[in-house]
Amino acid sequence: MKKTLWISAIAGCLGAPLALAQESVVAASDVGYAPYSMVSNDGSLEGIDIDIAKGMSKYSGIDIKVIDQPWSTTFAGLNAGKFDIVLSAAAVTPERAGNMLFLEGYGDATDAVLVKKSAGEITKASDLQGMTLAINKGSSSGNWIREHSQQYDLTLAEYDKASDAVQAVITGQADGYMMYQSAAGWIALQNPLLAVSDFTTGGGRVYAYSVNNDNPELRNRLDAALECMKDDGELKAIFTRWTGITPKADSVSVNSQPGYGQPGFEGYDDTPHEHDCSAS
Amino acid sequence: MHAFIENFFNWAIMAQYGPTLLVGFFRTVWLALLVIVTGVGVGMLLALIRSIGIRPLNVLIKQSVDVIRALPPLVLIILLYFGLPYVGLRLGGFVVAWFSLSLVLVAFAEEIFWAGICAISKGQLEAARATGLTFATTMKSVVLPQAVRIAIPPLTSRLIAITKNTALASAIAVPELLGTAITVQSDVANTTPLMMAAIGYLLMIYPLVLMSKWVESRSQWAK
Repeated sequence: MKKTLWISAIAGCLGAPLALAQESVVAASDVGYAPYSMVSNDGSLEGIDIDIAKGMSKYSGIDIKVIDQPWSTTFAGLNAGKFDIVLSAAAVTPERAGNMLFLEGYGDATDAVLVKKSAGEITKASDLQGMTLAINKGSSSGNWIREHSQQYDLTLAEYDKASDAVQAVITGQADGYMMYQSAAGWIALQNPLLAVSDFTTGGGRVYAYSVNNDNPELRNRLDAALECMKDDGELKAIFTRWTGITPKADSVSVNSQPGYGQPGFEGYDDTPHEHDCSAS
Repeated sequence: MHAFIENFFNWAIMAQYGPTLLVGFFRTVWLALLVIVTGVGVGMLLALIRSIGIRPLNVLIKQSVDVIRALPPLVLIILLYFGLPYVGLRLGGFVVAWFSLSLVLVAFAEEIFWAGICAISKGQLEAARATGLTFATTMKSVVLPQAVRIAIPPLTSRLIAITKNTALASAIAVPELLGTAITVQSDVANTTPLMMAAIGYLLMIYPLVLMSKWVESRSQWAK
């Protein structure tokens, strides 16, 4: 008994979060954001993020429980400690990096435009001339549209839900829906009326999971687990399975980053470490 | 406490995104004003038409009002925005939001004014007509001033509710105050923009409450 007290006292002094002591954490996922997180036919969750969560659990030994959290309240929930991990494809931006601890990127935040097949080929920015472009509210794709709205006479339309943005393209309320290329590819696979533009933006940007600012230990352990998934090609296989597109050799989905977090952003920790990938 | 302020009342974010949210604020005010003018105007008109007592017309008004009051405003908005293009009519988000919310307010305002008119005893109407006043003059000078006074408190509650309902317009890509705040919140990963929106709604709705109090006290003579 005395020994247990000692251990918990030491743990308390080190500031180790309770969640880690129990080896179980809660992750918030925006369920319905296909193909990252969806409800399967039998009612369980499935998708890229869900598969990665399982992989990170395997390598880190931390049990990750996934809950449904609408994207618009995700950051508020993280800051309030309602859950430990943002398990969504959030583009890493300087503004966000100041408010949360990002893991290293797991996918390329390349944006493409979902359009009706009848819209014709879209290979360059000027093909978007005069279009109304939809985005999912709060998505970082809006920044490119805002910056180029004058140049190409673009109108930005922000919808509360991804499904509404797709509806807007189908009904002609919007001419295109700018989103991650992988997600656009998935929707085009489901709906033969729609196509993905060859034109892309945002090369070099990545999206990543994140944890609360005061939880670097959890971030580092999950980051290390993610590196293992990249090393053994598991992450690449997950993307190929869900989007039909194999990540390129220079993709962040294939190459693990040094240190912990995404290099070049606030919260990055460049401590070198070995990849200990013995699955627990 | 520090973390709370950092997250909910962050001055740096307030200063940086104030102008962005101000645009959303004015768009919301404009939308709310248009809805209120249309809704209250048409609602009162319908209540007056109903007081004339043409039976088929009254049945039509009553039925329409009951159906519209029962529908969730968001359904109306989505139906008009995504449904009308299929019959060849494509309306912008702002127009659809104005039309749908006005429709809802018309329904409620008509019932509120009608209740006000019904509350005035029939004897007053008969007495006024007996002195030789026309029906129109009787309504304008005798019944309505009293009916409106009765209608103001419930009407004010509806106006507040419909002003807050303008946030539904964000579902169809109208960048109103709350929607803009949620976008900014996602950009900066901080809850402060929501608090700014809350202050915005307070600035919008509090004058509405004061105004209704003022109109109420102005019409005290009708007692």
